[in-house]
Amino acid sequence: MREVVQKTVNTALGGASTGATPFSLRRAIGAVLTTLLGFAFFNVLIGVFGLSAAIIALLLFISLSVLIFRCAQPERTRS
Amino acid sequence: MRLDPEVLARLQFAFTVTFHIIFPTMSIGLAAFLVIIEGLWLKTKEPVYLQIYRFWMGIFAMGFGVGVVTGIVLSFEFGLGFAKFAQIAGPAIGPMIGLEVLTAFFLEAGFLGVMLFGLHRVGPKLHFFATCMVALGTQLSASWILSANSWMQTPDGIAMQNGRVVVTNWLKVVDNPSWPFRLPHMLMASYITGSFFVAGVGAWYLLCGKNETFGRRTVSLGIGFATLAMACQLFIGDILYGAMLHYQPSKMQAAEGFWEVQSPSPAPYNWIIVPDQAHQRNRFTLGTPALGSIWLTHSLTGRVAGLKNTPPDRQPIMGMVFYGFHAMFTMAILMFFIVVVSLWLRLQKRLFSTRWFLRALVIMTPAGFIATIAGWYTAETGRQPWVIWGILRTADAVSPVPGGALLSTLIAFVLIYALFITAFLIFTFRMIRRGPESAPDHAEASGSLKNGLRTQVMDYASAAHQGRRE
Repeated sequence: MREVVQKTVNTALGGASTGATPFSLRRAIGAVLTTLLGFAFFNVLIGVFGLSAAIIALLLFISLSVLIFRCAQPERTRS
Repeated sequence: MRLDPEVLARLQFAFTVTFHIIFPTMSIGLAAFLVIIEGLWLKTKEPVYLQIYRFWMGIFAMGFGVGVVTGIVLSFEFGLGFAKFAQIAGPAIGPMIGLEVLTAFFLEAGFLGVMLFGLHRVGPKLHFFATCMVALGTQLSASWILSANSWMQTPDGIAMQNGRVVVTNWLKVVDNPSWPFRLPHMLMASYITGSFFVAGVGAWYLLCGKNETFGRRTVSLGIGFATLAMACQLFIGDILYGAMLHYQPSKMQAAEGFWEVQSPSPAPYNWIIVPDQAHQRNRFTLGTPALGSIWLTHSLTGRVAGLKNTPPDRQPIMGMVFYGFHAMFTMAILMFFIVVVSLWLRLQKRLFSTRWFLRALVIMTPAGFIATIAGWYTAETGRQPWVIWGILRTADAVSPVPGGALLSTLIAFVLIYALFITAFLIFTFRMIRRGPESAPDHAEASGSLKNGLRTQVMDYASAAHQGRRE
């Protein structure tokens, strides 16, 4: 299940190749999509679409974050 | 030169409370972090958690100490600079501050010694309990202080008799209208402050290429907690905004930088203004079109109420409230951006290897402190000209003391606090530079308090016995 979620989100965000070059089109698209997603969450969380939508967005954001926290990070620290 | 006692009393309180708030915010955030870290250590027995715990416990202890000392000063300042306030509002404020001491300080004092010095002298579970109690004490302390301050913002449960406050309903005094919103907002601010502090220090280690295991774990945990807390904070912040708009409209009118009774439709969101309070207008405005309607009225064409809705003699100074609020909000936007980027990098498995992000984390280390101070400026300057909203004006609350006395004590506070902050920063930077190696990552001894003390007593007794024989 976790792999499926991770793969889906990776695809949505433009791929997650750890060995990718410092700049790639896929990564740039991923960055733009992440920014847009973050902006959307920000607006919903501050109540632009009402209290019910804000509560749902809060729960969704926390659930997605917890899922993402479970991705193991490689030990190396230098790219 | 005539020294205005009101200006000096306000300046003195503003200076001391600005300095003070840094430390409780850090203590509340770090105490919660330490509970989680020690819980993880007990669960996993991974030595790195113990190392993280011991490292941050040292910084927590220093912050806690400075916070207590600078907090005590504030209660004395009620008498020094605002004696009339203390006289009038004492029956409501005094018991709450007393209860803070009885519940929070006693709890912290009872367990702080075990937490700081008992790691290898008491059993791990008892030590964890002590850490939890200290963390609970910090939350309780925040709860009472927020209750007292919120009562000044939205007073309830009292009647005025012979010019003095008489409490008619204690529950309403404690659970006043703004407290249920302001308390979680402040607690979240503290968690975010602690998280960014922890993550920033961890990121610095990773950038330097030292203590990498420690650095990775602190960055991951710090930014992880910040992610959850930031989402909650945005949600709570919006609810608090709505409540303040209801209870203290002039504060929020000033915070948004509009003067006219109704703003144009759609309203822009003002980022920079140069207000002219005397002429009730802005000399300069820079904003984003339509965003004010969307963010503040949650519609595309909504109008925002301006400060002219409040009579000039009841208006706060717009510039102070506006820039306090916008500094807090801008920091919140930046911090939310950072946590969203951290999620993306985590997904890409590049959280520890993206150097620009680690640099950004180091730069954002004080972000929570800045946002908290700015938030308190908004709360306090937005309440003006009242010290107790709608009941007592700040100008009428000042002590009948000469300006010179207030000026000399202000200078004394500045000098003493400069020493405090210098000492705190020197020791904190020294601890960070020395790194977590100075905190052993293994338990030297463990067991019950009785056994721990017995060992200490026996060692002491045998050393004394040997000394006598020699």
